[in-house]
Amino acid sequence: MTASTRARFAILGVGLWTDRFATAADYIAGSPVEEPKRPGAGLVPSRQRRRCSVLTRAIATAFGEALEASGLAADELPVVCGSAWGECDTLPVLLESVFDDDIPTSPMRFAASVHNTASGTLSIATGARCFATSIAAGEATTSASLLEAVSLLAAGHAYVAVVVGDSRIPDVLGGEVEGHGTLAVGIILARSDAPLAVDMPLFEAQIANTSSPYPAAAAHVDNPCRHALSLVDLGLGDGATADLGPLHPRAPDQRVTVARTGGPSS
Amino acid sequence: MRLSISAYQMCSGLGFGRAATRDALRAGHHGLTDPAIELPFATFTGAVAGSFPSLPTALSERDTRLTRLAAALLDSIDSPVANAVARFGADRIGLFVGTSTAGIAASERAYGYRLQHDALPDGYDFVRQHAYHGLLDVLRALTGIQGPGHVISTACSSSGKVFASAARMIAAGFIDAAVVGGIDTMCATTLHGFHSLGALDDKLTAPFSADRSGINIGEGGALFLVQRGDDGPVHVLGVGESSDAHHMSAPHPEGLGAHAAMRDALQSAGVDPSSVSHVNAHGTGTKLNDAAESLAIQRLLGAHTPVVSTKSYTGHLLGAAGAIEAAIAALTVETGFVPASLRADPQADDCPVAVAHTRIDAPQSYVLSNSFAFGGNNVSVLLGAP
Repeated sequence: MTASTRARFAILGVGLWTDRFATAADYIAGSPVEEPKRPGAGLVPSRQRRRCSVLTRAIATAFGEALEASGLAADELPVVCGSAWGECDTLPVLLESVFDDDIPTSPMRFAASVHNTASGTLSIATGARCFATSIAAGEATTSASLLEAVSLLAAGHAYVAVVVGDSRIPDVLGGEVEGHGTLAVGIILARSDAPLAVDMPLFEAQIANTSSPYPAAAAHVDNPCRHALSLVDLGLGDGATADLGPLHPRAPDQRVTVARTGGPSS
Repeated sequence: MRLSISAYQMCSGLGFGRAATRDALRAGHHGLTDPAIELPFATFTGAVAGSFPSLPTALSERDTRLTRLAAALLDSIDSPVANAVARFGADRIGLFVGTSTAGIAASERAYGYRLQHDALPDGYDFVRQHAYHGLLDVLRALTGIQGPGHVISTACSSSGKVFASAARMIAAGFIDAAVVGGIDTMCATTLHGFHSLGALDDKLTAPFSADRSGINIGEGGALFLVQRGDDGPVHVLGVGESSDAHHMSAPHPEGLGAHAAMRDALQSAGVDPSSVSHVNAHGTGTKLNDAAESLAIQRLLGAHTPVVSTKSYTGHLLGAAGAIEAAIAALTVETGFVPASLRADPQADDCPVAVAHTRIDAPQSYVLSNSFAFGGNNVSVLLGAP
């Protein structure tokens, strides 16, 4: 990103769900839950919620917290969902039915196996008929999601939601049994000249050469979306710069960063 | 927004390459056959014939049918891509590809092996072979592209949306050009899944027909080099993206999301609906899709704009449908024809649009290419002559 393409925006809301922290505020305060619970996903109607994977529930929970903090209505809010592995939890059940003629494939599970299950669920739950997308880029999923959101702001959208998350690769397909837990982070961005950005601190995204990535907590060190935790620190904590991870795996030192610009938009 | 398509290549059950595809479409020859995969039910599929060279040794850990198809498609446009890298710089070229199945076929084989041997096979790696970004890694390695990139996986709209991502990234100044497209390969999980939904046709798919009863699945895809500027024989003139907010696997019955996507594609290009030459419809051959899409087309364009479903030739390429159908739309702009929509006669009463039952030979200035998906995700791409 050259100087002319640096993108400025305000952060209107932040949300988070992990196995240890139920909200972004809990994460910043260092207040883990005593017993892990399923993500609440309160904005998804209960009948729809029952069918959701843990990942989709986590993404809906993080999105809901960020949305509430932003004060925006969801029905016209573009959403960028990012996930490296997508709905991989659903895969073993589908594969089992392919190889065992006595186990019929569940149409409901099949329909919920697509990568955009989370973004579709949010759209249905909130009645949003606008733009929604679902993207993946491995370790670069968080950085790619933010760049997609920033390009939407540049294209004229006043507000964009970014929600990224991943759960563990199923152990039957080689995932580590003791691997990382589920993690989802949501953030609502506002273009610097959007009405709700007035008097808000501004942040700037850029591609920077750095070899000192964000030190993720051990519980999430293998989660492809762990870089999004630095956005939580930036949006709610005392972080000055967020490292969102590599631009792509072949250039590990080319990283997308977000930094405070030092002042409000007006 | 306006993107110039500098080069493109495609493959499907119709064959490998633009000439093979064009000739089959003009002749009305489909590429649907009995499936090569053993299945406990009847259907037809559109598989890409032949085998493809293995990837270079350095990429052997990522060697799957999906990535081999990608490499083969890229091989056909590698010279223009190399020229773009030299002209703009590798870090100014983006990479945006759509896939829905990703490398699931590799995981199917690994899972089957595990059932027999209680261990995954040597060489199987979920991250390198199954995961969505394996496609990105291979295309980056083969092209040297260093700019922003991602996979879009919104099921059947995935590779229509890549044009919008590229256009926004170019407009925002992040990149000057991009390789875009989409690829999906045949796999049993997908066939079983659509069968479980009652959405697979056990006969040849017949979109817009009164006798339609579902989808035939296909495989393949297309890759494009797009950039700013006015060169290139075909341009992407506009893209509309919307959501149904209705149901995970059924379209909005009035086609509200489909209508919005087509409307926005035209508005973003400043093109009047009356100027549309024809619509390459999503046209899956399911009762619900074809009826809802027809309502949306009729409401926006009237009842006289020719409509074709080229899924009657290729089957439904799922995550690659947007790419292959945009490539077909580009062919029709270049060549000046609308393919006949196969097996649409007798046309259904609930599809009140001007289905092209026979080939139309005429200049095609503006072509809408629709792709709609699970999750109610919709995209419409407007292609046209410069």
